[in-house]
Amino acid sequence: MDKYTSRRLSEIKNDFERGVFQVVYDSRKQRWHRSFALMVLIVKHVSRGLLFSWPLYLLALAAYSIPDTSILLVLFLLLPAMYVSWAILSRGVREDYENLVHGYLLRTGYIGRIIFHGKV
Amino acid sequence: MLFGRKQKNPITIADKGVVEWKYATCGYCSTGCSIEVGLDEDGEAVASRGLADADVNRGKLCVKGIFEHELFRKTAGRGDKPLMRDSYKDEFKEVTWKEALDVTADKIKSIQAEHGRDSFAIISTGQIMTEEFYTLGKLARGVIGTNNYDGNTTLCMSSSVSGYKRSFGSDGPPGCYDDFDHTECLLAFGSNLPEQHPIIYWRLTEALEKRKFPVIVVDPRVTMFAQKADLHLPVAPGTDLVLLNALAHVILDEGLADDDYIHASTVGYDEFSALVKEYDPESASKICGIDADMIRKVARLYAKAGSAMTIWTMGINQSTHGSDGVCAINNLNLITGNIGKPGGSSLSITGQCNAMGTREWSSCSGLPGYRALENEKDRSEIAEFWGIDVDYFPEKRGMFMTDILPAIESGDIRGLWLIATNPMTSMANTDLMRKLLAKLDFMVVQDAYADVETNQYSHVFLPSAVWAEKEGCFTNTERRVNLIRNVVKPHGDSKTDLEIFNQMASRFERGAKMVFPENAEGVFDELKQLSKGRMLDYSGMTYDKIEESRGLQWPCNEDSAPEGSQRLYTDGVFQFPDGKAKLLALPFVDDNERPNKEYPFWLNSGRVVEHFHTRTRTGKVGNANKFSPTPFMEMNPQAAEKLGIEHGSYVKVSSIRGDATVMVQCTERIAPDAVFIPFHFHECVNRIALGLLDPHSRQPAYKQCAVKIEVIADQVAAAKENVEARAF
Amino acid sequence: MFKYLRPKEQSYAFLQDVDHPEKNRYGKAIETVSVDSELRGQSLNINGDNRVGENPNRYKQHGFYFTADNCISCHACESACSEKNDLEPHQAFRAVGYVEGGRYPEYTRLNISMACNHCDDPVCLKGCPTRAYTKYAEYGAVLQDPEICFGCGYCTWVCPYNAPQLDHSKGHVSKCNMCVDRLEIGLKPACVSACLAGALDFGIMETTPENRDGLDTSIPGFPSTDITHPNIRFQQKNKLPDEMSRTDSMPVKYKKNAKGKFEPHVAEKSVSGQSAEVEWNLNKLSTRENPLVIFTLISQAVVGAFILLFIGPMIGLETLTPVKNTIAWPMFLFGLIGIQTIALVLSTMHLGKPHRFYRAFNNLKYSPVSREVAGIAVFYNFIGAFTLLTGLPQLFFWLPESLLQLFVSITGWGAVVSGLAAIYFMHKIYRIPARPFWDHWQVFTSFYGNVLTLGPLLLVLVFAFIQVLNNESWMQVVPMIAVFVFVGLLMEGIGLYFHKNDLMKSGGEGAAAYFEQTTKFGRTYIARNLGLLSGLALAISMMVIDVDGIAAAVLWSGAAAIVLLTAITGRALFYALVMPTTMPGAFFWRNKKFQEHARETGLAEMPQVGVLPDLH
Repeated sequence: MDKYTSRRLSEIKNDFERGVFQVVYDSRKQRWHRSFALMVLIVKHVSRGLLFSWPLYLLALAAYSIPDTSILLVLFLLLPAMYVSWAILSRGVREDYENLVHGYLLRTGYIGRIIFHGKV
Repeated sequence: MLFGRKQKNPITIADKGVVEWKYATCGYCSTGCSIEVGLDEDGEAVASRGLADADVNRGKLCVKGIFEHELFRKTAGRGDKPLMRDSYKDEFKEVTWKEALDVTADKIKSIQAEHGRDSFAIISTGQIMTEEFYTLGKLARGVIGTNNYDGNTTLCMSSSVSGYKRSFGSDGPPGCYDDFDHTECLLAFGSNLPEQHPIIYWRLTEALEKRKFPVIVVDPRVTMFAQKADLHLPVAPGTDLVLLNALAHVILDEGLADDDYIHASTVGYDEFSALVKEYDPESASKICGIDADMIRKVARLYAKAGSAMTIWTMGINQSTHGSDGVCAINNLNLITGNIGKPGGSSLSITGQCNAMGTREWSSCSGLPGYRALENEKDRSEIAEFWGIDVDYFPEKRGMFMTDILPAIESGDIRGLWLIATNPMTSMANTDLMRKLLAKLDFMVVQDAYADVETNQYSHVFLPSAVWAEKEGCFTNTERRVNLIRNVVKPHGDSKTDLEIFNQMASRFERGAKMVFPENAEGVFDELKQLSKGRMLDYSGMTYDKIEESRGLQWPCNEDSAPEGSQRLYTDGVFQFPDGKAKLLALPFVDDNERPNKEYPFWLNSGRVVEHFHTRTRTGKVGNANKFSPTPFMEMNPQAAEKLGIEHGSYVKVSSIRGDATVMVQCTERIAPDAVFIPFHFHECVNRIALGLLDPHSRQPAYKQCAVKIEVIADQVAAAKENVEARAF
Repeated sequence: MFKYLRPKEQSYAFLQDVDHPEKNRYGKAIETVSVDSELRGQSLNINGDNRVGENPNRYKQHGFYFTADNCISCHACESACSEKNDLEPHQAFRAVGYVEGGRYPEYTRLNISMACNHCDDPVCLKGCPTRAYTKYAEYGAVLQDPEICFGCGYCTWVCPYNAPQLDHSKGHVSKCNMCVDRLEIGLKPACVSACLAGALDFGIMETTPENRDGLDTSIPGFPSTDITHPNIRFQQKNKLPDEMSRTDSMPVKYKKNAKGKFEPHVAEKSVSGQSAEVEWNLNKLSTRENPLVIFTLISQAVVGAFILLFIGPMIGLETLTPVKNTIAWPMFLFGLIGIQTIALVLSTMHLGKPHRFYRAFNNLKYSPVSREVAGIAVFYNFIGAFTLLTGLPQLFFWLPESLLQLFVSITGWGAVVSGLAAIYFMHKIYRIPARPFWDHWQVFTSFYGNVLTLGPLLLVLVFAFIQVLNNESWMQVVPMIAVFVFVGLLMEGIGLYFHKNDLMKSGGEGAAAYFEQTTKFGRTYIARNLGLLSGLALAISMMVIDVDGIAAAVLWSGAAAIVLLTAITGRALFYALVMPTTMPGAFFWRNKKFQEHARETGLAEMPQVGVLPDLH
């Protein structure tokens, strides 16, 4: 099994190899790994994004910490900020997932490689 | 890596994943480049490349060939299923092949029964396989029996054919591309090689790099070819015959002619020289616009060269004296002994990829294999071979395409079958064409593209396969027979033209009794039998041998010329009974539609390299179409300034026949009293063009007529009109 | 990839092994790295293939050799390149255009085929913020990686030869890759192999192919080689007419100077002899760069406003302290952050691939874009922190007061310094030699001028509004603010004045851009200038006249509106007018006027016309 790890599904031409690959790919362990990788990607992108965009949320925070402000004002400031973050981050996460996770069999050390964008 | 970076960025280069290359010959122009189509593992055609060891193109391809693989699946508008309707005003409905063919056969029979055999006409093309031409000929002459059967080659090559027949006794270009490597003087009449036949231009360039020789270009426009030439003769439109006669005059006058050759291989010298005496350079220059000294210079260069060749294309063919022009060129070469020797030739550069094939085998103008209906022996031979009664053949050919279409008006033609041709865009006088086609009782269009403009008026549409979706041979300009292997299956439900012809034949009593081989190679066998021993000898060829040699030039006879023959008439013996060529006296009659006060400009039309003919294919290939996506008109800036026309604006161009809207490109490459519009676009130049027919070849004079130009005030409306006309 | 070798390949397709000089004419060694360099012997890793090519001249600078006399514009080179790189119709790495001259029948057309010149000093590589470009030791090829690129298009601005191509439908740039996969097996690039007229060739730099001589560095229509030292040589021996014109819409023509070299000049009359009309063309002011108009203006305003707010109390504007304006002060700061955020969002979404925005910091060493983005990011963080610390001090109850003040001080000064630095790098972005209209110190005066003008204007408007709400007079700040506005407008005006004169003197594309400014946008240009002058006059009156109440508010709002409109128009003109030193196009292909026309009339809807219908 080892020799099939970290090979992409799309590169396998042989039907038999593909069948074997598919069995391992669909296994519980691998599915868990992929979900975990996705979470790591989300955390990575969100933290990186936040590093550059935290003042975006400053307004909402300000509105929130002023006493007696309507929750509507907070939402009015918070929601667009979250939308912009979502628009940018979702594309980033999706792209990284496609390039680094989808179709791969993940083996030990994959989290490190995902975070530092090496080859999986 | 420089600029002190340690990490290399990865390099990704497009890889189309080609696993197999299949042999074919290009299906655009008649240069006949050998091309390989690359298939990926799903069997899709994804790449094209030239064959490095093919003699014709040696690995090179032009812009059209480079993207030819896109024709199979990436061009829209392909015919999918047979279509039928009662009148052109109705919507088409999809029908089965059986239905479509049955109805067509019945209609043909009923029209012929009511109005005579010749009332159903067939107009074919220059772009289907030779085997298919032959089969169509068998069908047209042996089964359906109509004498009104011609091809669209009349629009481009029939003047050359006519000229060769009148001068040498038979069709057949005598030279080859190899002549560039031997010639000491090249004269080009109305030929714009860089745009029309770029690979032939490349062969010329290669020859010039090795050994420089003078190149003389005769063209009213300063094309790139004219620019590159050593001498450019901006001849007045429609006066080439005068120039040619004047050149002959100088050669005879100064004693530069090859008297031995004239004596040995020609007749008609006396009459010829008497006429040519009248065309002294001084009087000639007043008509053709080339000054007398230049005429003398060119004539001397040509005659004193050890071997000299003349090439020509539509500049000569598409004029009111096309056939005479070709004969005049042949005269020039005959008096200087430049036929059939390396570097010495009058080589007509053909237009369509297989115009030669139709000339050789389609029986349009005669009988297959360069045989004539006028010849009793030929009629008997073919009748026997096909197994029919010799009286079924007429004793001379019927109407040319350019006469067939007008005959619809008088009611002589009631039904029409069009195969791979688009007269709605390619015939002059578009509005008249509409009326004529609408008048037909029944028209069937057989084409690869369902959105071909002519289909607007058809009753039945038969979708056919394109290019390498079938197998067969093409013959190129230099008589090289080359093979197209079947690369992919026909699109959708379309059939090969061969299959359609065979199926149609089986629906006729006569046809069911004749032999119609099922596959192309079977037909090829008949060609070999019929051509053995004749000039266009195919008997030494087989498909495999053709592929191996990358094409073989006929005559290719197993015994005398197993590897084909580069030239014809190498022994100075021609195809007339007496074996001599004819020198013809050709007086010039000016029947051009000259510019006058009301219509002050000469209209010239021609080609651009990125498009082929009516753009049914190249109009859809983005990477070719983008270089000329919309019609344009070249106009001299001095003339434009006088009329207040802006570079890049739309103008109205009109002649007595009609008008068109076109975008102006101001450039000094064209004379102040002339304009140029590429002919490829629908509802454009052919709305205005003349189409006056040559008396011998019935080829239209597309290149000379008179027009006027007017500014359009509402540019937005003009732009909108233009966009709508570019339906695809 | 190595399957490009056709069976029985012809000799024209193979690279020639020839002798070459040690250095090129600019003094750079033709051998790209020394013999013992560790960079030797490595695989180019093309498509994951880690074989090393056996080309004996692998470490020599290669380039194209173009015999301009021979090109017939048959498009074979463009097509071969598009076919090999699987490009869609609207995208092309190589393009053929032309210049023409002479009167019929002594007419000459000079066709020019250009892809990438793999320059010695690649400005694309230096300018790219994401470091998507690499100049390889192998063949000296400059290659770009679309997977790293985020589609800002800056490389398309800086390249004088139009080599990088921004694909608007995909959101990234790609360009000629010197067919390194073919070079590795000893074959010339696809375009060279396809040339049908003996015009395009390729080999080691400063060598001439067989049957050729001449190593010109330039032909008419080719930009100055001083900018990048391109690795392309020409042969152009045919006699050319003294004046050659372009058929695309650029008002530039080329005239022979005393030494016989062609120089660009303004073409005041079109090819058909018409003079240009003086128009408004306001709708053409709106370009793809609109987000940058807004981004630059807002950033400059915010920097100016913050600096004034922070320094104000120190220079006598006591009314602007937080103590005196417990509500207005933090609200104003939040407001600044709000609009700066909008500006940043616009600027990020303007990228082809906004989700890769974080890569902008990858090239701080060379790219002004990287530095500007870093500057703005730092500024944004600092004012964010400053606002947090001063606007919501209740959150920091756990911090000792002195430490809080220290942080306030640090973040405040940090924002001032980084803001000013960011504007400096912002202006450096536009100092591009390939864009003469921009390459002038006028950008400096305009940008900093706007800092001085728009910042205080923004401040006083908000401040005045709040004061009026509190029924207090706000007029006392106006005279001082007016000084800043005046100085800013004056700076900008002086810069523009010298800009105009310098452009006219320099000739070429710069003068052509100025020509367009006075014709195509002529009336708009005049309106903008009038706006500047009125602004100056109004600023002076703000300093001296003493009006109060509603009348004052109306008057000064009006003045502010004029100044703002002038700034927006001016900035829009700045982007709309830039005329790059691009290669001459053909009548349809690479003709900006036709591309615009195709979009306007709907021709562009058909993909086979090769024009993308919309640009973002």
